[in-house]
Amino acid sequence: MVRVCIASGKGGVGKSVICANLGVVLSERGYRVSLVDADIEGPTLGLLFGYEHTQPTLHDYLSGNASAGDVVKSLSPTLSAVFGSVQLNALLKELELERLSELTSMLEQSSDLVLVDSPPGLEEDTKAAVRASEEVLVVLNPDIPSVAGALKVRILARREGRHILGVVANRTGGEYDIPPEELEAILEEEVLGTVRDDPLVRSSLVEGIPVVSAHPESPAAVDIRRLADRLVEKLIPPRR
Amino acid sequence: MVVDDEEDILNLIERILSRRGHRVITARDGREALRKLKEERPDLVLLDIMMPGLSGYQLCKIIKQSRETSSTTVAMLTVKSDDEDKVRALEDSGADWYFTKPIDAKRFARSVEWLLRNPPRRG
Ligand SMILES: Nc1ncnc2c1ncn2[C@@H]1O[C@H](COP(=O)(O)OP(=O)(O)OP(=O)(O)O)[C@@H](O)[C@H]1O
Ligand SMILES: [Mg+2]
Repeated sequence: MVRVCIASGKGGVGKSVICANLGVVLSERGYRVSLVDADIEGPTLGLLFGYEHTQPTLHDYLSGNASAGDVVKSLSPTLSAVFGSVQLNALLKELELERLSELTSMLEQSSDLVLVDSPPGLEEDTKAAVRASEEVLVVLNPDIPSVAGALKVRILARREGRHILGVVANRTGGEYDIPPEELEAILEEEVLGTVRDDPLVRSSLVEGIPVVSAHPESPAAVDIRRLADRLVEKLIPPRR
Repeated sequence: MVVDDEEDILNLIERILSRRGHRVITARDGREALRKLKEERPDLVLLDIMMPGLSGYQLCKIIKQSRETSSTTVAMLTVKSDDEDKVRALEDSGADWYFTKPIDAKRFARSVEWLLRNPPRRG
């Protein structure tokens, strides 16, 4: 129904964590969600769910060696995912990035929401992820380099004719955080949610279980569920 | 300190901030700003971008690169509202924040007080 690219400009701000956990929360509410790890050179979405190696991967699809049906992995009755390959990473040139849009369009037909996790930076691979989506959800940390990254995502989205859904401020709670109202003013976008910095996010990574499942009462899990509420309001009409 | 080549802006900012108990220093161009910066040591510098002589970008870079002033908080205050300008200010010139004119007096005063209290960090 709708494809949302999760982007940041700056790396390491928490795109993959937000992507995985939103997928879990929304699928548990009965929405059909598909996740795509479009971080071609550094896929980590599989790791967040405890998969070190999955076969075949997005790389096989993009190089024409596997069909869409082969690469979609079902994680629950309402959650599916296409993971990347952790081993093959230097072969970006051999992949047909345009096929990413075909894949997300196909997934969109059987999903209420497709979440596309994108690479850091604003190179061709990120552009392909933005093009493969209608909407862009910008993730940032409440600091200056992240804000600059978010502004660059806005520039890219505008060039590609894509709409920005809003902003998620991740790892908040520090004394020197840029407050949400200031983020909204400088970015001219709505802050859809803030997710507190929470050590349980890191431990859930080690456990291979997204924090909303592993530690549902942790601050980050509470915040991500609230963010999911806001996303549903923005995106998804009442359930089937 | 407010640096702007438009008298009206200097007066407006001075009025908004002095009413809230801040001491406001004004400068009309980069040269005057650099001189007053050394004498007055302001906590915050608000910089217009398009000024005769040094641009706000250049002035910001100078402030951020010289040892005596590098810890001064600098924010742009400009009519330029493109994302590209904001990136240039925050990344290339090292500005700490960016305001777009026109401003809402109440909101602006709140933002200035946030910058004085807890200037954002670079990650
Ligand atoms: N709310 C949070 N609290 C604490 N740690 C967090 C939080 N969100 C993310 N992290 C940690 O930050 C690191 C980066 O997160 P993540 O991999 O999701 O970022 P990313 O934006 O996807 O990075 P990349 O740009 O490399 O793909 C991880 O170690 C993760 O555990
Ligand atoms: Mg990632």
